[in-house]
Amino acid sequence: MSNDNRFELRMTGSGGQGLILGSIILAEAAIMEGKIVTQSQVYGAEARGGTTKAELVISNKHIAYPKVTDPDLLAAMTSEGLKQYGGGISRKTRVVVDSSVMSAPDFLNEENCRGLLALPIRSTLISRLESELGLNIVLLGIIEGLTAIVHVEMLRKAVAMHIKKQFLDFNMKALDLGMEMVEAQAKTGIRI
Amino acid sequence: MSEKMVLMQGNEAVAEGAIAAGVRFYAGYPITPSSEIAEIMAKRMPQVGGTFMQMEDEIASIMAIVGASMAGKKVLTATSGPGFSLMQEGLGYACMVEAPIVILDSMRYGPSTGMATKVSQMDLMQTRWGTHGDHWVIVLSPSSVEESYQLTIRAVNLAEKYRNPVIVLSDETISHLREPIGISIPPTIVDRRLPTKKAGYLPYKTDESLVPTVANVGTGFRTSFTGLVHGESGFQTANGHVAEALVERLRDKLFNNLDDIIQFETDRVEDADILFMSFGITARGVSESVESLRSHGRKAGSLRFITLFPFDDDRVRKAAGNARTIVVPELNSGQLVLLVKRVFGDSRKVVPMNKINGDLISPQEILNFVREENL
Amino acid sequence: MRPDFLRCERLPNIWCPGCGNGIVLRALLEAIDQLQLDPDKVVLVSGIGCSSRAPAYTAFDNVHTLHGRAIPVATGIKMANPDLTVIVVTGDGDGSAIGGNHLIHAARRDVDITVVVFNNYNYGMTGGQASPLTPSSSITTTTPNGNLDRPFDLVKLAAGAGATYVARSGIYFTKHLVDHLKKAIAHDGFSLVDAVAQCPTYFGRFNKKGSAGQMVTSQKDWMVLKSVAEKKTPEELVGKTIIGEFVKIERHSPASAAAPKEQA
Ligand SMILES: Cc1ncc(C[n+]2csc(CCOP(=O)(O)OP(=O)(O)O)c2C)c(N)n1
Repeated sequence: MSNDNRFELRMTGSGGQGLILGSIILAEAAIMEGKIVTQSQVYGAEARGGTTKAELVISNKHIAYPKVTDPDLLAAMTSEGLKQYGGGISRKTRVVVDSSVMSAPDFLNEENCRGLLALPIRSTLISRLESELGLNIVLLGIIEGLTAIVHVEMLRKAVAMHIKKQFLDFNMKALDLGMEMVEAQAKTGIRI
Repeated sequence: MSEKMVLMQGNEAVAEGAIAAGVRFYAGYPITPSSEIAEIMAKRMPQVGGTFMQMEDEIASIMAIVGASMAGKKVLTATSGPGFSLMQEGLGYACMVEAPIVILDSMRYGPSTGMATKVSQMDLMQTRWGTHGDHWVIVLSPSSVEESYQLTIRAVNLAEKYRNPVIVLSDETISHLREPIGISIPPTIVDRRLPTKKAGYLPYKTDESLVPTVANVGTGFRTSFTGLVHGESGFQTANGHVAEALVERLRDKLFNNLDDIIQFETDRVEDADILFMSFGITARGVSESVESLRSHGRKAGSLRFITLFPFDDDRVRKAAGNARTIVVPELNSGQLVLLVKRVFGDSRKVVPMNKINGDLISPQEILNFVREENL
Repeated sequence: MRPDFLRCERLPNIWCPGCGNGIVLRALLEAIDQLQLDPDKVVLVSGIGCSSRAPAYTAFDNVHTLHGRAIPVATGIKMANPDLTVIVVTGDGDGSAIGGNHLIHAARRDVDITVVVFNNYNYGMTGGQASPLTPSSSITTTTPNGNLDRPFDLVKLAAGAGATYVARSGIYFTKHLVDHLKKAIAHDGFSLVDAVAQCPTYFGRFNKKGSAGQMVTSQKDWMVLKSVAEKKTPEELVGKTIIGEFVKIERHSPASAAAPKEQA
C-alpha cells in the first residue's frame, strides 16, 4: 500500500523502557504541527516488564487503518523485541538496534531493509549522562536525527508536556544525545 | 480544523464524552480493556459533582446505574465480554422499566475469559440477544477515538430520549488507540421528559411518541417500578393483552423513529460492484482497501454500520446500492453476515470474511481475499 | 397506622392466609409514620419473592427489581439522591443467597440504607425450597431428608461485614419490631433488621410447626430478648434465637479522603 505522506514507526523493547510514552510524545509533537496520528501498543501484562511494542502512524491526511503495516522505521531496544515484533519489515524500513545490548542481527541486509543502524544506545546513555533512565528520549532524538519527522522545537515542547520540571534538563540532554549519535555516525561514513 | 486537537485514548474519549453529555453517576467493576474508563471516572466524577462507585461485580454495577437513573441521573457503566454477560439480567430489567442507561462494552477475545488484551467483534449478537425475552436495545459502534467521544454523547442522548438502554459497542483496539480529537464544541444535550401533573399520573401512559414520562423517584409522584409485565399504572399484571401492548410499545418506540436512530457511513456505494459491509475497527481497514481497489480501477464501496441495532432491512437494502458482491469482514466467525444475508437472500453474492486470531483485518488481507476468492 | 401509606386499590395482597409478611410490612409502615418521614422522600426497593411484593402495596415510590438485586439498586438511588430514605425489603433467599454478595458489600461500604429481611426461613414464592437461613435438619422441598447445611447467622454476617446497625426481631414482638425498625431507619449508615416471620404454607407445614397462629405465638418460646439472654448460660440458650440490638456504632467515616482536585 503506497501512501506517500504516511510515516510508520514501530518501537520495541522491554517494559519499563518508556517506549509507549516515547511514542505518545512524538505523537503530540506531530499533532502540534497539525498532523494526524494514531498511536497504539501491545497491551496488558506484557507491558509491565515483558516485551513491548509501541506503534505510531503520522500522516498529513486522515489515517484509515490505524496500525503499522509497513514500517518506515523499526527501533529495537532488545533482541527479544526484534524477534517478536521485527517481522513485516520491507525495503523501505530503516532498522535501528541498540548494539550495547544485542549484536547486529545477521538476517537484515540490503535485500530486506533500507538500512541498519546499530548504535550503542544504552551504554552511551550510561557513560555520557550517568543514567539508565531516559533511553526512550535518547531514542526519540535518534528518530528525529534520522527522519526530521517533526520540528525539533515541537519535540522539545512535547517532551516538556510529559516530564516533571526537575527532570526536564536531563531529558533535553538525552534528546540532544540521540541526535548527536546520529550525526556522529553519519560523519564516520558508515552506511545508515 | 480550527478546533484545538488533543491526543486521547479511546477509553478516555468515552469518559469525557459521557461527562460532556451530562453523565454524573458511574458504577463499574474493573475489566480489561475497559478499566481506564473506571479509573478516569473515579478521578473525574468528583470534579464535576458526580458520583463514582466501584461495585462488587457487574451485576451490582448495572443495577446501581439503573437505581441512579431512576433517581434522575444520567449514568454510565463500562465493561467487556465477561462482565457484559453478567449485566444481561440488568439490561433486560432496564428495558422493562424503561430506565435510560448507557453501557459500554469494549470487545475482547471470547468466549469466556478468552484473551483479555486481544481484540474481537464477538459480542455483536450478545448486544442484541444476550438477555432473555423479546426486547430492543440501541447499539452504536464507534470506529475511532473521535467517534467514541461523539457516539457516547449520542448514546446518552438517545437513552434519555427513548428511555431505553443504549450500548456503545467498542473494542480493545479502539479502547486503547490514541488519536487526536477536537472537543471544544459543546454538544447538544437531550434530557428525559418528565411528568408535570400529579393528578391522574400514570407513569407508563404514553402519547404518540410511545415514550413514557416516568417520574424520577423522590419527586413526589410515588411511582411503582417493576420488571414484571405492567400496565400504564406501573403495576404488575398477568393480562395477556396488556403484556402484548407493552412489548409492542417497547419495540415501536424505537422502530417508529428509525430515521432518528439509524446511521450508516457510506463510501462510493452508487457505482460499486463490490461492497464491503462492516462495523467498528474493521471498517478502517476496509476504508483503505476501497481506496486501493479504486486506484486499481475496481469499483469498490463501503457501508459502515454506525448504528448496529435496531437493524432495519429496508434501510440497509436502500443504502447498499447495486453491488453484485457484498463482502462482510468481521472479527468473529460470522455474526453481522447473518443479518446481511437476511437482507439480501440470494439476490446478491454475500461473502463472509472472518478473522479470529485476536488481530485486526489489515487492508492487505482484504485485497488478498478479494483476489484469492475471485470476487 | 396511616391508611394513606397503603395503596388500597392494590389489595388484597398475594400472600397466603396466615403469612407473616403483612405484619412485618405493617410494622415498617408504623416505623415510617412514627419517624414522621416525608412520604415523598421515602423509597422502598425490593428484589423478587413473596416478601418483595410488599413495597408495591405502599404509597411510596417503590422499585421492584430482580432476584437479589435490590441492594445495588437502592445503593444507586441513595448515592444519586442522598436526601431520600431508602429502605430495602428482601426475603431471606433474596437477601442472603443470590443477593448475599451485594449485602456484605453494602455493609462494608456503610451506605446509608436500611435492609429489612422478611425472614421466613425458606423460599416462599417458588414453593418452599431451602434458603441460606433454613436451620439445619429442617425439611424443605429441596432438603426432603433434612437440611445438611448450617444456616447463616444473619446478624453476625452483617456485623462481620461492617454494618453499623444490626438488630433482630420477630413479629410476635410487634412493638419491639417497630422500635428496632425505627432505630435502623434513623441510623446514619448501613442498617439491617432480621425480621422473623412465619411461612405456614411451606416451612411450617413441612416442619410440623402447627398453625399460623401457633407459629406466631411460639416465637415467645424460642426467641429470647438480648437483655434476658445475657443472664443465661450457653446451655440454657441452646435452640433459642436472641432478639434485640446487636450492633450500633458510629458511622464509618474515611479518615483521609482528600477533597477532589479541581481540574487543571
Ligand atoms: C435469577 C432468578 N433465579 C430464580 C428466581 C426464582 N425465584 C423467585 S423468588 C425466589 C426465592 C424467594 O425466596 P425468599 O427471598 O426467601 O423470599 P420469600 O418468597 O420467601 O418471601 C426464587 C428462587 C428468579 N426470580 N430469578
